[in-house]
Amino acid sequence: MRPARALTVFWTTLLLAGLVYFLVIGALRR
Amino acid sequence: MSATRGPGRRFIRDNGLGLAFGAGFLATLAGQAAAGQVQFNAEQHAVGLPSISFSRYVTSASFVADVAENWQSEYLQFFLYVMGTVWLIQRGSPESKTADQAGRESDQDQRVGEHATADSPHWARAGGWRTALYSRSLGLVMLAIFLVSWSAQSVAGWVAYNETRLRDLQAPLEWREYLTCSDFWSRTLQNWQSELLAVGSFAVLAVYLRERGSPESKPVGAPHSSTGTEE
Repeated sequence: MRPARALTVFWTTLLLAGLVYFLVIGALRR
Repeated sequence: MSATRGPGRRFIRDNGLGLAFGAGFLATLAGQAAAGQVQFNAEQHAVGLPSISFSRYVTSASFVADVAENWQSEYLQFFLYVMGTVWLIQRGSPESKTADQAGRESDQDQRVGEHATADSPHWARAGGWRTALYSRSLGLVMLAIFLVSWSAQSVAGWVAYNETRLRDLQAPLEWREYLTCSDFWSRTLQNWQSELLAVGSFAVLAVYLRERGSPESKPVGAPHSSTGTEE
């Protein structure tokens, strides 16, 4: 049984989106 | 629990853990944003300042600092746990290896290089820097997310802290000053202590307590003395 690639993409995207959001807001507000 | 098994239903069944926690994360993050905006505006009103909109709140330094400080501590927790359990043993804990397995183990045990099997990941077989890097990838990614989140907390927390200082007619701090400020360390350490408490107590309580059917627990009938997956 192969693990689901879609879910891995979902979580990776979520994490990266969160980290990029932190950086963008951090840069925007400083 | 039977009959209808479309591909969608099968996907949900095979990925319940990741899907349930993903949905829970998004719902609770939305809840944090909603409650945070109400609290933020209550503090604004208390000092005679106007309310801010929801979109302004979720792009505020205050919200980002609150989210980032929790993220960093969770990923620090996983990083320390992943690395700590390589070397440290907890006799009787399902989370621990046995004393003779302490350390990074042999290539044979880890199925790397010439010991890789047909279905091993490509980089486990490749050898050289690729296998060395892949052999540390879980810890490195946890560490990277921790460092980025903690850095973000320091910047957003700094901005949010200066906003309150300006409101109170105090001079703003430099970022470098904020790094040694009690606000930064209070936010940081209040999260670290709870992660260390939870992980430490879990590893020890799981020596004696059981949760039937959970892979985080030993089997209900396993002796207290059995460590990890040994019988």
